[in-house]
Amino acid sequence: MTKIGLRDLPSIATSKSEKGPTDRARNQPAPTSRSKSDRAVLAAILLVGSGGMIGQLLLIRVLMVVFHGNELTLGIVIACWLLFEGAGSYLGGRLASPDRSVFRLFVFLLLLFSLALPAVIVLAHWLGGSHLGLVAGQDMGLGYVVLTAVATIGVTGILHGILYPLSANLLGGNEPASQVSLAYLIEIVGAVAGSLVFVFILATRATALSISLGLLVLHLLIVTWLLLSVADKARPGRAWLTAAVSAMLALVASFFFAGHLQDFSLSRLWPQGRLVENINSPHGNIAVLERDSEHTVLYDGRPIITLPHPDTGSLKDYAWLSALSHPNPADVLVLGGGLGGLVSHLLEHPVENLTYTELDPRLLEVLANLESPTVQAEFTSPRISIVARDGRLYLHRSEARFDLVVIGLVDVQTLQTNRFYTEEFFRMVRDRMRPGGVMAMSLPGSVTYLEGVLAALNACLFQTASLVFEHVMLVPGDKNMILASNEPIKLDSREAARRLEERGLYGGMFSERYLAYRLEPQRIFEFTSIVEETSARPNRDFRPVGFFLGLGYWGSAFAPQALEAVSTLRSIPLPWYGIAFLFLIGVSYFFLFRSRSARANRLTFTISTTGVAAMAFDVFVLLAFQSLFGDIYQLTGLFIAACMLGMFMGGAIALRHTRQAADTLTIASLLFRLDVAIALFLVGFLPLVYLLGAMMGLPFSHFLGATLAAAYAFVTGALAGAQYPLAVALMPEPWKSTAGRMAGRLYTADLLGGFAGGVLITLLLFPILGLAWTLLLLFIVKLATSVLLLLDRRMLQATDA
Amino acid sequence: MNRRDLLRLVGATAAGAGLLALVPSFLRGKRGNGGDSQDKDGDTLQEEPEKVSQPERSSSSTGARIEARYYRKGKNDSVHCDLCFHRCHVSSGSAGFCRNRINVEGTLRNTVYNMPSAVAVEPTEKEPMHHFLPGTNMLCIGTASCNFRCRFCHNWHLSQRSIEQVRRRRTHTPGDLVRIAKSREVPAVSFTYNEPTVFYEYMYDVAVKAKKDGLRTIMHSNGGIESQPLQDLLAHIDAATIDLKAFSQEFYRNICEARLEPVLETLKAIKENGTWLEIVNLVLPGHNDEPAQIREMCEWIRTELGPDVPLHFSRFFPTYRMTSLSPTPVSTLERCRTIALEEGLHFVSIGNVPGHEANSSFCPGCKARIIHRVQYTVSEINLKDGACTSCGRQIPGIWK
Ligand code: SF4
Repeated sequence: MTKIGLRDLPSIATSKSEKGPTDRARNQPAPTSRSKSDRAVLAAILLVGSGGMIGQLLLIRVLMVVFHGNELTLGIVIACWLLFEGAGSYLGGRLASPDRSVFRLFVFLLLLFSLALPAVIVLAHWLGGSHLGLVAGQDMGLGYVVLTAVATIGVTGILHGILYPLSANLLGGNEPASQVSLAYLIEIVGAVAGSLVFVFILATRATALSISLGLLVLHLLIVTWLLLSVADKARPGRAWLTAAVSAMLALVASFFFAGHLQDFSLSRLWPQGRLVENINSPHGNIAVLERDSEHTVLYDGRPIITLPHPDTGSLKDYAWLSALSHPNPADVLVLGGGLGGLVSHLLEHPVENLTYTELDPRLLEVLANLESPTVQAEFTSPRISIVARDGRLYLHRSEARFDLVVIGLVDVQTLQTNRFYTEEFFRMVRDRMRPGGVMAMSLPGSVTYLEGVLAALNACLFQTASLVFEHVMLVPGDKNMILASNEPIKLDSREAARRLEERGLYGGMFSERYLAYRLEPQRIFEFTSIVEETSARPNRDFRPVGFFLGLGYWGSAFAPQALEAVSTLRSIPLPWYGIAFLFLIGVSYFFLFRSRSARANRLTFTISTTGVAAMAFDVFVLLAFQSLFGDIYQLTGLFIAACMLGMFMGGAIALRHTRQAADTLTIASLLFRLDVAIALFLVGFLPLVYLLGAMMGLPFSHFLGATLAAAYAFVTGALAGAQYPLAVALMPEPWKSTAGRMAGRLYTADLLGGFAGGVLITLLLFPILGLAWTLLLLFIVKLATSVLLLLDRRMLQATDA
Repeated sequence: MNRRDLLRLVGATAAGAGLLALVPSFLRGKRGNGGDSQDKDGDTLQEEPEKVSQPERSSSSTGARIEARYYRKGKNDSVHCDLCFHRCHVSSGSAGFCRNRINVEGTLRNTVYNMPSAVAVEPTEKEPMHHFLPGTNMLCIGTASCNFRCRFCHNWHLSQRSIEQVRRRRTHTPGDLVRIAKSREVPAVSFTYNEPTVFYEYMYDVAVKAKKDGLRTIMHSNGGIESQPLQDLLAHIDAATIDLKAFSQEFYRNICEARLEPVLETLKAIKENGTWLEIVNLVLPGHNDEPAQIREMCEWIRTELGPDVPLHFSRFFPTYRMTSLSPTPVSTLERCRTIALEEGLHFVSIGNVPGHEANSSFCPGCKARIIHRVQYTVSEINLKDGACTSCGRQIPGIWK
């Protein structure tokens, strides 16, 4: 098999354009130099790929800060991008009909996209501040989140989506199928390069607006090149000079402008304080606001620490009750969310060694710079060791044993934090405890209310802890607290007062009356009964029910109507779902076998389910790695790049294959086999997870695991990518003869599949069904398309015969 | 495929679907109704709302929709509620803004009577209420819902839901509550957690019963009640903590969906009535902490209510829908307190900052600390018969 690499692409383009009259020849000004214009077109398509990817990653980052991101809002943002990108490419397919001039439109939209990026970043910050009915400091409800996502990433997505079918049309050649596949491959190369540049170079070094303005300059340069490549050959010097001067001017302007624009934009987002620090670490955005000498540290837009006056009431309450639950908490481990108060209050007890793990080293730097006495004391205490590493990974590798393990103050709203509340994690904690050791965690709560999602969330984690520990205790409060141990937990007001006396800490906030109120037996009994009686499934690494309920709890404050809609859906009688399902089967049958475009529909459907599978591979590789190793932020780019590189390689090989094998039956057979392989790789993910888990104890397990996961992402990407050119080659008329329309249709299907996969898998299937069942479901779906392709091949055979 | 084929296909699909649809109901029929599992289903995001327009719940002697007070009948079975400043016009089958008063065929009914969703013993200081039996506990009672929509509500779990959405509500008559208070040996009952105006009839009857049985009564309110029901209620209330959320109409409108004037009227009425009054101002950075606004508010309190009304500046922490607003800087609270003292108010404290000196109360005469507080803990009371032990100055409040 001949491999096609990146270096071969220009030659492919050139060789195609030599075959005869092209669409471009009809639709655009005659190029002065064919090879020069081909190179410019190639660069422009690469830019479409890289600019789109950087723009997408950039906007996701900006919107995560604006929305104070959890996976639900992340899902909405990604869904919005894919949906609008899909709609754009469909529209682009329509615009790219052979009888239209696409060149000018392409150039115009390329510029518009690059101009839109900085504009929507400012818009996102403005919408996130106190505008359109929101007040400063108020979180956006679901409606606002959708609206903002549409107005920002949606708008850029649609512009970018139109560009792809147009770029397919721009490539020379009289084989539309080749044009489409080629444009797809070049875009993938651009996207891989874009994601690598963003993740490894730009993300932590440059602000959102400077990146977007830099992209604007790059677009200006490429557009100038593109225009020059088709301009009058007689005066190249002047044209180049004009281009160079305008690009330089743009560069200088953006250099000076970016900082001011960034400051202005962020002051719209955070009007409630003066921004004194804004850092993008590999793990998230860290900002510090100052108001009246009080510094508030925001992590991804959410206040996490206030200095010099932390929330003493709740921090001391959590720290002291945790410490009081153990007769002698000599060795303590605090996992994240603890600097700036919690750790200080724990150290007020006779703790000999306190180990604190913090995933984000940049946060430690920011806190050190604040020069707050509380944090300085925490940093300099001889009793404390700070470990800048994921807490779970630390626990896995550490040989140390602890009397008290305190899970820091984090919400169970993201998959990243949910990892600290699963059965697997609790087992890990139990194995690192000394006899009589206690684990403490804090959960959303209320002294007056424990119902609905709140009760379900508390019940889920309480019961998960009960699977691992023999004794579990709930302490209700404004934040509920769960204590778990294999020995009976002695925490009543009398014992707590005695331990306080013993430690010389009795008095102040912790009086007998306060303890009697906080540890009131009646309330503890009532609330414990609720969490024991509420039926809940355990929270597991690969079935994160806690995360799902955490999102639900967020929804109960921000989208109560959406929760009502869910409950209405649940109340629909089962038979109606049966009817809807059969109706869907009927409609599918019509579209896949009876409609005039049945063949095209079958291929489109296959590509869309491959989109689902490709997204599933991505999501699962990330989730598995995150669950086991924690640190995925840098690796996200690596896995995505590996997957896209696989797509490129698979696509390039398949494209070469379609050129060599003129026989459509052979192509159809190959498409079918690839589909079966994708289905098998879906179920093959389970052994991979097992293997990754087994590797955790080995030296270099992080490296080995990442390599294995990247290799898996590469292979699955290659399988998915290879299907695209094959489906393109099999497309019947009238799509066959119009590159733009075909590209629009298949690309839209691919994106919509990705969208459905991303949203459904992350937010519903995975948390509710768990990994194994989700994979099985996807396997069945992919098997169904394999059967469809088999039937399609038979029909082709029959037609040929 | 022609159109006839298509119709045949759709018809066959629908028929098949109909047959298939019968299978689950058949299976379910075999299994029975499944008991009360719905009630305790944990893996669901359901918040169990019921539609307001459903027929009236059974009127047992305990949990019942009793007829509301303070309303007028209108045309076509509609009613006008006169209980709070919203003055809702409620058509038949609908609920008022507070969700708790519904029009059932031309009769306005209170849906939360006898249905407290929270009953708990809490420190009096938590209210906050500083000049009322310091160091004691009270029986706190709340139901559900509110006539405000504050985006920073600390008790949003109860206040921003209707009683139908609170499934674990109890059934307690006024007599039951008084018995509970007596058995828990607390000297007072407090109507708190959610806005008591929206359970007015229940609050009123409990207050009457409690007073008769020798208990004290407190209410913690947003002050959005109309004057007549307030006057009638105050005859049975010993002390009130009123939230003065800001001295700005804009704040009330934009952040609470409410109005300032009714609150000011309520404050004046309580003071005139002689009921013990304390005011809470939760300071939200950037929203209601402007020094000029604070000064104006304190000046109004001094001139309209007198300098002896305790004023509590409370620290805000992110909650409910305002989870990205920074906590109030302590220096902002201290500045507010300085302004209030400059304006001549005698008792100004800072809340939600445990350990802060201004958590405690001081004698306005000799500046000696008369009550030492850390959060809800009272460690020292330097009062004798309501007078400062240091200088003998009488300190207003309810001390025994
Ligand atoms: S009490 Fe309720 S129904 Fe009556 S006016 Fe106020 S909000 Fe409307």
